[in-house]
Amino acid sequence: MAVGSRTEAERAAAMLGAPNGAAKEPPAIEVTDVSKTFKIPEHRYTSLKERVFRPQRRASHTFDALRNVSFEVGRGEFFGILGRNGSGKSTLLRTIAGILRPDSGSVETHGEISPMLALGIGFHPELAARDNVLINGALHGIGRKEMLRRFPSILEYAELEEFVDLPLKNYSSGMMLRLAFASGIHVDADILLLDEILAVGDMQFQEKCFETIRSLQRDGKTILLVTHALAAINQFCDRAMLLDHGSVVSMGDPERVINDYTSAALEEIVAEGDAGAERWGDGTAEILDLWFEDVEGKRVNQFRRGEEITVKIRAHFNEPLADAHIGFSLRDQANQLLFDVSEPAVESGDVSRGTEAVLATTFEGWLNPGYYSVWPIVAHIEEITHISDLRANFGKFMIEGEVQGIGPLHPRIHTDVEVN
Amino acid sequence: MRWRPPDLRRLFSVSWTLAITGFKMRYFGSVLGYLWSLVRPLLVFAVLYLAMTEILHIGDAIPYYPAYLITGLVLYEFFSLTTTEAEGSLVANQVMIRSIIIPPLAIPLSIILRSLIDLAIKLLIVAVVIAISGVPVTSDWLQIPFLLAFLVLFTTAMVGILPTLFINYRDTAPVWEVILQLMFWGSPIVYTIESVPENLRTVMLLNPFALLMTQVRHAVFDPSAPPGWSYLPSPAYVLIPAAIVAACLVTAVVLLRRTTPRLAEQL
Repeated sequence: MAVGSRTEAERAAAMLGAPNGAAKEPPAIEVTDVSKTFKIPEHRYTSLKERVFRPQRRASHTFDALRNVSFEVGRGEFFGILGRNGSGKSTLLRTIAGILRPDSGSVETHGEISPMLALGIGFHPELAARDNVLINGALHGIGRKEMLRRFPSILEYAELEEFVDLPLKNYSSGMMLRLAFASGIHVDADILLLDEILAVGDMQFQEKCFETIRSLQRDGKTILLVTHALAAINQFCDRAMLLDHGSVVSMGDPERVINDYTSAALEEIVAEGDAGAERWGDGTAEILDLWFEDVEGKRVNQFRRGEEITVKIRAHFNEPLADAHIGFSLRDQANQLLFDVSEPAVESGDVSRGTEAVLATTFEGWLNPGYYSVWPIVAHIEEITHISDLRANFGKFMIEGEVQGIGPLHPRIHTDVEVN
Repeated sequence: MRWRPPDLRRLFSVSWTLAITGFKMRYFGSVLGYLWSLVRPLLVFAVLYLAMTEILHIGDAIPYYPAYLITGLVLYEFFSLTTTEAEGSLVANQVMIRSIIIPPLAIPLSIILRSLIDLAIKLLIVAVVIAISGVPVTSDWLQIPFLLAFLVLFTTAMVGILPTLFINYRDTAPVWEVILQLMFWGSPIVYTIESVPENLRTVMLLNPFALLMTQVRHAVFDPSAPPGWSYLPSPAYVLIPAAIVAACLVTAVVLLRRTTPRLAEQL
């Protein structure tokens, strides 16, 4: 999507601070060497009785939510934060907002902050839209009069004009989220902290949310965005940062950071792939290894959409087998079968004990971005098919690139519409 | 990070909004809803009144007993409902505390504000009852604002203490319930101090609420009844319940200052 993505020049300008060149202004957010540790009691006392009768149980372990995090966000910059669940993203936003205090280090902000860490704070099911919007505004520091002035536009934005008097308890969840987003985003702070609030409502409303974010960006707001929507990071952000176990592992150009994030995630998934995966078979043969190669024969786990992928499977035969086949099935993240491959292990006759065979299969990876797993199999046929070895999720690779259409497979397609 | 003094204007505006909403919520924004909420205290009044006049004959000798009883009930209800509700308020609103920049004090404060609105309305009703009963107006009525201030101060102190204790000690709730019961029957609300054996009066009047009620009776209903301090061995003893309230206030401030900076992670 070309709309809204910024040119390199714009990004560079935003990174330097104010676009008019007034570079002396302090950055909007300065986070210096911030660490935050949470104490997690092994057993949490929730009553006086327990504390009196079981005084010995005081054990607790600590959890480093943030470790020496330092970064700056310039005025008007759109800054994305990526990381797995539990990597410290929300703790960081809360620390910047001043809701949490860092154990060490400092957070300096210049400008009014509006955190949107959760939607619809203070909403009450018994009340209608107006009261809820007023409460939400007040909790975000906006007075009653100001909020009343904004109310019509909030209602229009949320597309709820017909339901002014309906108590929230009768809303659908989509209506509720729309009202929550509309009343939250109509905030004119200088710095906005957005935590996972973009995936709201149906497609049309999401597009509207994105349009709003774009206009905030144009108005020169400083925005910190935490999201798992990589596309949004790529599309909006001037810079991005990757957190892992509370530490900054990568910062800078969003595309590069996204790449670091996905490859780190892949590494972990690939590492997990072997262990604990299910395995079936009578043990007459053993699948030893499975790897992927690119066109140049280099072992890789990441491919671009449409790139040639070679799957190699090495198997060892423990018994002489009749009519042995090696193959695999390719499955998407939902374990849905995409296609399978099966080849005789030797050209003709039986496989003798101690044979090692390597199956190489090459195909063009016309797959949508995501993870794919390969289930290798060795089977032999004696009247019926016997499985010698089948390993679930034994190998995984990732496809990068733009999503095309719906569904995992998307080959090169030529379409032509003829109008008669 | 430095300790920042709370932004009082924002604290008040947030508390006020929460209070108004809480009030609307409770009574669904209608007069009828509010009247309905008066049914329970009125029934309590009716039960106690019948028990005390028809069965126990304690109320018979007390001048303006219905007005006296209803005044005591309204004041006690203010104290008990406000503190009970405040108790769980920080835990109940943890999502709010964790997700927005809100002065944590705003939540208990909003409960006090809402209760004050409620108290104001109920005192109007009480005033009507007093007027109908024909209680004579005296210059002692000038004490009323001070007596109310004392009650509000005591309530505020408990509103500061209870929710912070409740975070780590959930059994604060049943303990407080018992203490409230004790305060109800241990204070001259349905009876007067004269019904209490003399040797117990001193101990009893060390309870700030008991002293308050005795003084209310003297100031509002019966100037001939001796003032609260006269039941104590010496007027200086008044300092003890006063000190209890002061100690509660100090405890509240200490607890709140210790708890609020890290509240978001403790909940």
